[in-house]
Amino acid sequence: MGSLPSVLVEGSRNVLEELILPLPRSTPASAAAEVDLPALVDTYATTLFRVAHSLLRNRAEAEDAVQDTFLRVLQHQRNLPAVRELRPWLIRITWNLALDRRRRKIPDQADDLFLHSLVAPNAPADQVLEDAQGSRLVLAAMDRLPKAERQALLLSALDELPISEIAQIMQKSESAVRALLFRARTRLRERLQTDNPRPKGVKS
Amino acid sequence: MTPQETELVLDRTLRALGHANPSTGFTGRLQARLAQPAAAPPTRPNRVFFRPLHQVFAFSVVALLCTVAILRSHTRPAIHVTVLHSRLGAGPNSPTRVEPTLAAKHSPARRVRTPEPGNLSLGGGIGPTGLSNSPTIAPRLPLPSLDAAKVPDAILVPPPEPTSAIDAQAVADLHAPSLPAPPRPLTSQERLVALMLRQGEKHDLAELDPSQTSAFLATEQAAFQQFFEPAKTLTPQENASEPPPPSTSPQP
Repeated sequence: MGSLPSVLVEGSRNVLEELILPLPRSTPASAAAEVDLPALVDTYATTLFRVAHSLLRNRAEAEDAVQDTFLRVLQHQRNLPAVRELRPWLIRITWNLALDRRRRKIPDQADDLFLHSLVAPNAPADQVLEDAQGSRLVLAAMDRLPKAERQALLLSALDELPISEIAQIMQKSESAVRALLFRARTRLRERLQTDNPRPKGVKS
Repeated sequence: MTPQETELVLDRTLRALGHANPSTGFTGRLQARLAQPAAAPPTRPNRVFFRPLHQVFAFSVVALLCTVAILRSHTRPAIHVTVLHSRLGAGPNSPTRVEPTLAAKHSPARRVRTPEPGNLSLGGGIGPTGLSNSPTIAPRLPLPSLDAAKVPDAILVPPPEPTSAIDAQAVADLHAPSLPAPPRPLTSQERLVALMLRQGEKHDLAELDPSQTSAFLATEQAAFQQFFEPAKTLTPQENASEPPPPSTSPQP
C-alpha cells in the first residue's frame, strides 16, 4: 500500500476533526482500549466495501480502500471512543479514500466483468447481455450527475443506510438529501430516455 | 427506453451495487494486516520536547554538534586503508588489520573488536577466504605480510547492523498467518473465455454426452410440438370430400 497524497491526508484529517468530539482533558487513557478493532472490521467491512465498490467499480480497488480506511482508524485509535456515530464516520473516510483512488484511475472503469457481476448469474445469455448494456448506460449517466446527487444516490443503494445517516455523512439535512435523491433519479430517467430512444417499430 | 424500463434498469443497477460482497476471506486478510506491527500507529514523541525553551536548547545542541563535526572533518587526515592479515592461513576469526597510509601514520591508534563470524552480513565483513567483502573499502590482494607485527596501527572495520527495520518487516511477513490470496484479476483473454464458458445447461450436457443427445432432441421436439394442435387423421369420406389442391401448372 503506497503512501497517501498530502491533499487526501489533509482532507481526511478535516473529516476526522469534524466528526470527533473534542476530547475532554479527563478522558482516561484506558478508554482507547475499549474499542475493539477486530470487531469493527467484522461489523463494518462489508458495508464499507459496498460504499467503495459502488464508487470504484473494481473489487480489488474497493478492498484496498477499505484496508486504507481501517489503517487510518488504527492511527486514530485513541480518539475512537469520542466518535459520536461510528458508521457515518467510517463511511465518510472510505468515501474520501475511494474518491482519491478514483481520480488516479482510468476514467472508463465499467469493464465487462464488472457489468456482468451486476446482473443475475443464472439468467440466459441474451438477458445477461441486455441487462449488462442497461447497467452500462445507467453507470455512464450516473457519472455525469453532480457530485452530491451521485453520492446521495449511491449511498441510498445501501439498504442498511437510512436517510438520516446519509444526511449525517453528507452533512446535509434529511430534506436536502431527499431532494437530492429526487433530482438525481429524475435527471437519470430523463437522460436515459433521451440518450437511448427506443427504435421505431419495437414494442416494449 | 420507456419510463418503466428506465426505472427497472435503474433499480436493478442500484440494487446490485448495494448488495455487492467482498471476496472470500477478505475480513481475515484485513484482520491479519491490521495485526501486523507495521500497521500500528507510530509512537508520538514526547510533548516536553516541543516546548519552546526545550526547542531552543535542542537546536543549540544540534548546532554545536554540527560545528564540532565540521571542524573535525577539516582537521582530520584522510585515511587510505588496506586490509592485511598477519598470517596466510588466518581464518575468519583472526583480527583484520588495516594498514594506514603515510598521511595517517601519525594519527592516534584505534583498536576495534573483530566482528564475530555469526554477525557477518552480506554487505561487509570477512569472508571465509580471509578477504574482506566490504564494498566500502577497496581491498588489495592479501599479501603475506612478513612484518605484520610491525604494522603500527590497526583499524578494524565495524560490523554492520545485523538487523534493520526492513529485516524486521521481512521476518514479520515470514511469520504472518497464511490466508488464501485474493483472486487475481482476469486478463482480457480470460474474460473472453469466461464469457464463452458453458453454464451446465441441458443442451450443453447433451452435446457432451452422446447417449443423452437423442433424448434431449426428443424432449425439445415434444416441447416444440406442444404449441400446435395434434395432427388429425382424416377419414376416407373427409378425404374424398376434400377438394383437390389447385394446380398451378398450365394444362396442355
